Amino acid sequence: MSSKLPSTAALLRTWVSASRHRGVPVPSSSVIERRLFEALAAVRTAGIKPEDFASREEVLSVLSLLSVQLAQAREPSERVLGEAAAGFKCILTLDESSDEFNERAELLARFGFICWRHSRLLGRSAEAEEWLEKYEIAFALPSVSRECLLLRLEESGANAGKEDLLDAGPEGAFGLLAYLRQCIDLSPSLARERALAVYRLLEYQTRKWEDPLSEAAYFLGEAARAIGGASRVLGRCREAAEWFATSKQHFLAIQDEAALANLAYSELTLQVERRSYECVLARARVLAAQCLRHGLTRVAMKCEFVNAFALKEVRRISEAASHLEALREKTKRLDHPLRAFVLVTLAEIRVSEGRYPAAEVLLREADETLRRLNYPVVLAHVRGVIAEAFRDQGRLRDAATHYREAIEIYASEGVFGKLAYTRVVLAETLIAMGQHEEAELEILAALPTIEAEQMKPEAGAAVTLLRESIRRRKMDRNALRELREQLRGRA
Amino acid sequence: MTLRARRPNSREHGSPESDPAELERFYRLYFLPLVRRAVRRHGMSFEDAGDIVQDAFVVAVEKIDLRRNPRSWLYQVVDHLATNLRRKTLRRARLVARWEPPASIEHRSRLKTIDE
Repeated sequence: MSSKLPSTAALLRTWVSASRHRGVPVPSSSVIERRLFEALAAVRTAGIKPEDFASREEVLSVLSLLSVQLAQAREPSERVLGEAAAGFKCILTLDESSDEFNERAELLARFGFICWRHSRLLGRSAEAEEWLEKYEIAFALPSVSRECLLLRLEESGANAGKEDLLDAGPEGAFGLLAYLRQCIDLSPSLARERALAVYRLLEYQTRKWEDPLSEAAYFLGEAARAIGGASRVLGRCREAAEWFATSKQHFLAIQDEAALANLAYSELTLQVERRSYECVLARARVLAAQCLRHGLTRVAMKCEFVNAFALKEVRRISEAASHLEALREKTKRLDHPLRAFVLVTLAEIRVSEGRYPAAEVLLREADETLRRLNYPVVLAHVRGVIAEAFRDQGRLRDAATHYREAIEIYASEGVFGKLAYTRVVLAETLIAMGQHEEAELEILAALPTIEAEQMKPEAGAAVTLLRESIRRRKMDRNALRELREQLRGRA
Repeated sequence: MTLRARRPNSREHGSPESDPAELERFYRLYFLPLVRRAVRRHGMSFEDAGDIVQDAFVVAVEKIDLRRNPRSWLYQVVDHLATNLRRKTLRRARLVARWEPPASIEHRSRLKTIDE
């Protein structure tokens, strides 16, 4: 989208002056309806093609009208699904030039939403999952419609209960939830704050919806899951568990099996956060199979990853490595942070085995993926793994540099649990370098977070010992090691 | 699209002379997309949407804030005006239904029976 602000203002004045007291021609509703009728007649045989229309303007007008009619469908329909898919396909072939408002992206997202809605209601979870992915890609494209939706969310903030904040209805709610899911790994504290606002807005707004397709409970459940997910990343495990329980209530109310499977995965990640690895190992593979039955292939892969991660944590290293190698192959064509998680975890294993060149290759690819997808929090984790590799090789200065980079990212993103852990590890490294005063500063910075967030009750003893050692100005290395071990599950 | 610019008069200060090609471009790049937005988002007819967009432009001449993104600003104005129109129409329909003479209601229900 180009930016021509002054000329836009001047043209507006000219336009208003030139068109005052004259009718401005608009597309005739009856003509557009006729063109739509003709286009739909060809859906089953040849689909909808842009070349069947007089101009790009006509394509956009006809498909806009089609999207209105399909969005109003009151019950699950095969016909609506087919026509929306044809509309999506047609819009996909349009070029993006001369599209000041990026209507192409807006229409793609709209048809994607309609297709998701009807495939879900028709009980086709695999198809719904595919449409959800297509929707997320379309919604992530810059468009004025997306800007407006996010701007309204920003402006509405805590004013739940006000009229018109989410008057975009289910489609607006769906867009906001897609945004929140994307936001959790990018900026968890912002995601949590906004997810809370969206949940409150939905609670208020859905009471006013007609909701013939019973979607309100689904959206509320997804919003609660987003809050839980963001809280988990931020290390607020108790809060995460509460929100996941709320989410479950909403999904159970509508007996949405696919949504419940997705939620079960979120709960599994919470078990990882709590280091309940035996519980994860007992559940992950069963859940992966369950997800595959519902056609949720991406979630199934995530479950397999969590399983491999838990294997690594319980020191079943060779099993973990072989699972991760298999996942590395499976995610080869996946442009998703999961690919980076697989690579980083495998790299951690290679580091622990002392296979540094192999780890370097993996970390470089993970780094590239994360930079491209713009995932700073996971990038910080990669920095931590690289630092650990340097530390194991005795390159303490390089290790400290990478730990500091990770700390900077965690601090700016508000990921306090991981921030505190990384500070403790950096302190250990600094002590090994003989820089006791700097180590003390890192510990002093980490302790309030550990205490305030009640991150680990069992770390209490180590914290007390460290406070005492700082007071005596003589660092207790054992207490520091103890604290690091207690906090390790977070990083 | 045929729209000729009027010669600006003294009361319409700040209205520059227009180039028909520029207006044509403006029509394609701004007017029509906003009309389609109103149709898509508010389910109105193209004709009503055209009126709403024209009203939005009149508001914009006075109030557009160039420091913000003018496109999203225009989208919001169109949404706002369309929502107002929808509310007004609904309110009017409710009032008409309330004050409609009983005879015409009877007449309407008879028509409904015939339809069925």
